[in-house]
Formats: sequence, C-alpha cells, structure tokens
Amino acid sequence: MASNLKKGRFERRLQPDWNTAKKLWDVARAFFEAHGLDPNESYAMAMTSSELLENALKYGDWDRADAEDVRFVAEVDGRAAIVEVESPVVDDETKLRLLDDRVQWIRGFQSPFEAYVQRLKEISASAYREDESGLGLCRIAYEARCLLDFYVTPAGRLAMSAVYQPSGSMAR
Amino acid sequence: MTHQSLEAVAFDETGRSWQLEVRAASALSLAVVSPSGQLPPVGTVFARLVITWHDTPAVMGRCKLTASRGGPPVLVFTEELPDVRGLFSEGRAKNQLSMLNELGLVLSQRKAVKEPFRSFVADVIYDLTVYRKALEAFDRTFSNETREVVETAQDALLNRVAPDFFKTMDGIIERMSALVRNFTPEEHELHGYYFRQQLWTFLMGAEFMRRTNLKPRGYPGDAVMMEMLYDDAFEGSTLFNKLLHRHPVKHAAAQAVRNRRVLVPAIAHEHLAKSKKDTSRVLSVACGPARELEQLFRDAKDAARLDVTLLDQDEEALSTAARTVRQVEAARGTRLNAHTVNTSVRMLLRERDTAAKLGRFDFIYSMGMFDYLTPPVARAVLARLYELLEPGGALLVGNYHVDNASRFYMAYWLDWQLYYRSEDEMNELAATLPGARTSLQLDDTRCQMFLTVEKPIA
Repeated sequence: MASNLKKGRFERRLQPDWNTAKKLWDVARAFFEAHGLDPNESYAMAMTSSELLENALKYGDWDRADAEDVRFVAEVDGRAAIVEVESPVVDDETKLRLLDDRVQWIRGFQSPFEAYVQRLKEISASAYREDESGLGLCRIAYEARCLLDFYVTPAGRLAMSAVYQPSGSMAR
Repeated sequence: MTHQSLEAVAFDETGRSWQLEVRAASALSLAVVSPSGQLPPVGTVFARLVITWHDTPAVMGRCKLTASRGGPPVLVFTEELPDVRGLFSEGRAKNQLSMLNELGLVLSQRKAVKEPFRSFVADVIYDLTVYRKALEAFDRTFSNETREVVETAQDALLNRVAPDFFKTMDGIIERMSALVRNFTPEEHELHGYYFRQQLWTFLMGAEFMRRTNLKPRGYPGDAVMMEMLYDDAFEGSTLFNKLLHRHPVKHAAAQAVRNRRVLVPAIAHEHLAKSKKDTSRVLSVACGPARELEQLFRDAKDAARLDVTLLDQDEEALSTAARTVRQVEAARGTRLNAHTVNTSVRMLLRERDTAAKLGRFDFIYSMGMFDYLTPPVARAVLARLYELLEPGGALLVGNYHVDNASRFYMAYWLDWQLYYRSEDEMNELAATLPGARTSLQLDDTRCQMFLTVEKPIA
C-alpha cells in the first residue's frame, strides 16, 4: 500500500539489444519490491518496464548517428511507482501526434479495461496495422494498471512513462 | 473490368471452380459476373472464395449465390459477416462477428462486483427511473403549448423539483463515495465500468454526462465541457435530462472551475502590479475557452498593458477562446493583444528553443492541464515553462487536490479521471527548478490547488 512506499530512484543507460529487455525484468522487479510494492505489483511494473523497453527497441530510430542508448528510470515517489524509458525517435510530427491522441484516449477511460475492449472492437471491425492499433499501450494500461504518458526531448528522444498508484489516484 | 471489380475464383464442395468478377453490392454482399458469361445457378453454395487484390489473394469463407432485385446475382457469406468494402480498399475484410468475441470478456466483469455496490446501483436506477417517469408526464403535458408557455412552465417546475432532485443526487453521491472510498484501483475500475454499463441510458440523456463519457474531442475536459461548467444552467431536451445535466455542473469540482476563472486573473494582477514594464506578456497553457480573460482584461488600461498568448492542442478550443476574445473586446470597447498557438505541451517540449518561438513571459498560467500529466511529464513541462519566464516572472499551475470532494462522482458517473496530487507531490514537481520560490493555495471548495512558482530577478 502507499503508506509502505519507500522513496527511491534507479537510473541506468542500457544498450539497445533484446538481451537487455530480458535482464531488465529482474532488476526492475527487485527495485520495486525493495521500495514497498507487493510481489504482484512489482511483477506488473517489471512487465511494464520490459514492454516499454521492447517498444523502444522496436520503434526507436536506431539508425541515427547519435542514437546512443536507452535511458531507463525506475522511481518510487510520493504515492506512485514510475517507469520511464527514453530512446531516440523519428522526428515525425504526424506519428507523434497520433501517439499523443492514443495516450490521451486511453487515459480518458476510468477503466483501462474499457479502453482495451473498445480498441479490440475497433480492430475487429477495421484493418489496423499492429503498430497503429494502440492495443499494446491499452494492454499495458489494463494489465499493469498504469497511467501512460510521454514527451519528446529537444534531442529527439521519446520519454515514455508508466505510472502506477498502489492506492489509486483517488486516495491519499 | 472497372477499378471497383476484382478477380475471384469460387470453389464448390467438390473442388470445382468458377472464374468470377466481383464488386461490392453492399457492405455484406458481392455482385458477381462471369467473364465467360456462365454462372452457376442461383442457390449454389461455395466452400470458399479467393479474391485477388493487387496480386494478393484474400481467402473468404462459405458463401451462397443469391438473386438480387434487378441486378446481377450476389454472393452472401453464410458463416461470417465480413465487411466486403475492405476488400476493395485494402484487400481484406474484417469479420464483424468477431466483435462478439469480446462480449464474454465484458460479461465476465459482472462476477466480481460486490453485493453492496450491486444493491446501490439498483437503488440508483430505481430512484432515477421514478423521477424520469414523473417528469416525462410533464413533458407530455407541455407538448402542445407554445414555446413561451413551455419555458415559463418549465422554469417553475424546475425551481420546484430541483432542490429535491439535487438532494436525492447528493445522497446518492455520498452513499457511493462511502461505498467505494477504500476500493483498490482494480476495484474502482471494475465497479466504475459496471456502474456506467448499468446507468448508460441515463448518462447518455444528460448533456454534460454524455459529453464527458463519450469525449468527442478524444480527451476529457474539452472546451465545450468547460463552457457547460461556466454556464451552470439547465440544458437538455427533457425536464429530467435538464436536472441530471445540472447536478454535476453544480458540484464542488465544477464550482472550483468557476472559482479559478476569478482567482487566476486576481493572482496574475497581483504579480503584474509589481512590474514596471509598459507591456506585460501573459501565456495561458491549455487555454480552453479562456473565459478568465473577462477578469484579466478588466478595462481599457489592461487591454493596453497586457499581451496574451493562448496555447491549446485543440483547434476547437482555440476557436472558442477567440470568441471569448471578441466578446471581451466588445464589452471593453477596445482591441485586445491576444494571439493563439495551436500545439500541445508534449509537442512544445520537442522544441530546442521554445523561447525563440513563443518569446518570454511575465506571467504563465495553466489551470486545468497538470491534472492530466504524470510526474515525469509534469516535471518536464514545468521546467520548460519556468524557462519561458522573464526574471521576476511568475508561473501558476492548477491541479485538483487528492481530497477533491467530487472525485468519485467524476470517476464513476462522468468517466473523468484526473491525476490528483497532494501538497507534497505538487511541491516536488518544482523541487529542482533553479532559484524558484514556491507557494501553494487552495480554492474555496478545497478541490483545486494552485502552485505559484516565482523566478528570481537575478
């Protein structure tokens, strides 16, 4: 519960390869357990960390000369547990606006389950490509009960975050 | 073959095949012609149909050749419900029946609903139904009257019924808040979903509730919703819908929206009064309808002294803000220095030099945006806005407080979820801003909190 949360922050620069995603799981899980989340919650945050990192590897602009690495942050702060993954992104305003719309749309539902079902219905009825469907983001929101958010840094890096509030957003 | 026709091969149960040309006859059927002029008889059932779209085959399931009125025969699918129009635009037809697959998922949600909550929902439906039926009888009585008569009679009736109805609704909200206060996040989501499924027809009747639930602009709190809150009036097609619309727009969180329209300009004037500049630049971030401009531009002197930039991600919100500007100009009899910028804060953070694009400001405010930003994004946005401040400038950020009295009402009835913050969480957002002096205050309803961040002169 929130009252047991211990403030802490863990930041690491990671190499953009698939083995990293696998290793990150255990590291993230251990961090969140050590900072007051119960085993189920820590598992969900580890899954979220891994999903966000996989998204960064899949959709990141890794051909760019200054692509460098992934910045991973795990944080427990106030009433929230936070994961942030920052990676180079193609500077395409249309795609970023679409991501902005998707994230706001998912966040618009009290129940991410509702967003998930709604998205499933839309996918059933029309032909989305997987990367356009937003279903993966819905799934993170629904299965890990995380609020998603993002911004793009002036250096062209997408900072995608997922925030979990163990006591819920509506309680102290 | 026209561009709307595709080549197809139909196979019957024995494996015999027919070369065909097909085009969409409707969403669910394909008109068929045969290049050789020989079609199988109407009534023939095909085991599968292979359609070629840009050299890519799409395999469709069982279908039957059926007569059509006045046209060529059509193929109708007997086991699936494909939207065949997709075949001609992208070479695939989604089976609309697959939408039913999710029904089981939705139905399963009901099982975990707690019994006291079920009982509460049944009572709410009963109470609202009683009111709706009683008021519908009046709506019918009014149906043959002139508009003037109806308006006067409705006013009289609403004034008579509203106090009782609002008292009933207040009781419902109190009972619900007590029931759900200690729910886990998962329980909130599940019970909220169940609640809205059960109350859907009521929610869709009330203008404000319909808009917050459907979110036609893709996000909650759009300019139209804000206008409804500012107007605080009976809106709707029936007496019952007018009442159900009005209750949430009178509730504490809604009053906080009206309060901030006065509070924010007052704080702005307090800070700007210290400035010796001839012109002060003001930025409103996520401006919405910008109704607070009525209080910000009190007179022609303010109009001459203030230069306001209104920033919003939504063009519709900026149109509403532009209308507010024109109204204030008409009321004050002078032109305002007000400019609009169409972008979101997330897009703004991409800019390497935001100051080069927007300039610097003496006062920046954002009344209803931080409630939607998680800590990493809120910190980044706050830091960027702080950079945009002139030395000696001030930044004012509103955020609904974690004790907001309307929070369960908003979440369950309105499907309106905010990122609530405590005083500590609000202060932490500004903790790393260099040299910043911060203070916090709550509005009269104690629903909304305001963080003021002042930038030192040197």
